[in-house]
Amino acid sequence: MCLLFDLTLSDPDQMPFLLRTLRKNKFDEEQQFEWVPDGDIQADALNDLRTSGNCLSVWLVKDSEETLLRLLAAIAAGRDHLSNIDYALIAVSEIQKTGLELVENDGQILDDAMKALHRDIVKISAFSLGKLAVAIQEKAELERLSRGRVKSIIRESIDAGYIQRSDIKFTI
Amino acid sequence: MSLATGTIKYTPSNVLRLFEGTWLKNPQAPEELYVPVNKPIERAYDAGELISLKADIVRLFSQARRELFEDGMDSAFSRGLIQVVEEHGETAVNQISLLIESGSIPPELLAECLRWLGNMDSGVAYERRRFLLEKCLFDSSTIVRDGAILGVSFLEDKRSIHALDKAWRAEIHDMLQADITQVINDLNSL
Repeated sequence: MCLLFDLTLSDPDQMPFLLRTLRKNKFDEEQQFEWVPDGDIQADALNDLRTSGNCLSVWLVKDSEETLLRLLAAIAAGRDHLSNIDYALIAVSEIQKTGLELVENDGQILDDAMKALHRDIVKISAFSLGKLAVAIQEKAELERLSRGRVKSIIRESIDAGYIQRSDIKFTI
Repeated sequence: MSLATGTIKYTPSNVLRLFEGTWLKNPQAPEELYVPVNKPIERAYDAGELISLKADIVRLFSQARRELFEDGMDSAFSRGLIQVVEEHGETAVNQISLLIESGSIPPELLAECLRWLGNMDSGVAYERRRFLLEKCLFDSSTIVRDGAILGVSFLEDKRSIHALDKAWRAEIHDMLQADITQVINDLNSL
């Protein structure tokens, strides 16, 4: 099993991260269109940062890779179909540098224990949303779990009793 | 026909094709003389039907241009695409291929199409879909290549490893190379 993101390298007490699911190719600097200026990002990337009530839904990750995988399994299990899951992990400190605020707010997710990890980034303006997108492009770790890997972590969560198979829309 | 083994294979012509199956001479289970192949009926399309099918597919893609997509989530486009492929089989996939070659599909939409061509539960036009997906691994657009990598990964077919390996060698972006590696590893572990 590959190490998705080495949380152990950071100080576990000081380095929480925020997870946002998105399509990573829109945020990969290497794959940006040549006409995008330095320090900027293609507008389509904002489609993956859709706000509601000027708030953006994210998940706090600070404990371990096991928690990260459990969270990803729960997110993926709540979808219509079994698929890959792309996500960005960005340090909370980087979000704070953009001047944005985080609020605790239980999320909707199939694994009850993961609900408490939900956060909202609040009071987002058009300008700050652009800054956030650029921050993700420049500072976040962009990762992908393949469908095969997603299948296996969902099965692990089902076997552990974190998720009920009957709650999942697709066959696993 | 082989009298020694007691099997008869009957393949009717395309025009008169009603079913395709293998007859088994099995005295223990006389009711199972016919085992149908789970495959849709591929029929001949006349010119008018092809024009109509092409127009339907063009309209499907046109209506999807402003749609927003999310991994693992249904959309009007995904439902329409799956329906047209399940209904019209290889003919539909061929029409989609022609549309791709015309260059009229935006890369993001094409990538979405490739994802769903790989993620269909049905076996309809499977080999044709797999061929198209593997071909798109070498598209000039990184967005399309990403969609093709995902589409191929969804097939979970070890026969694609060779094409993925070639795509890895040709790929210039580190992130896409890593994605291809992940798919190859997944397939090797099946």
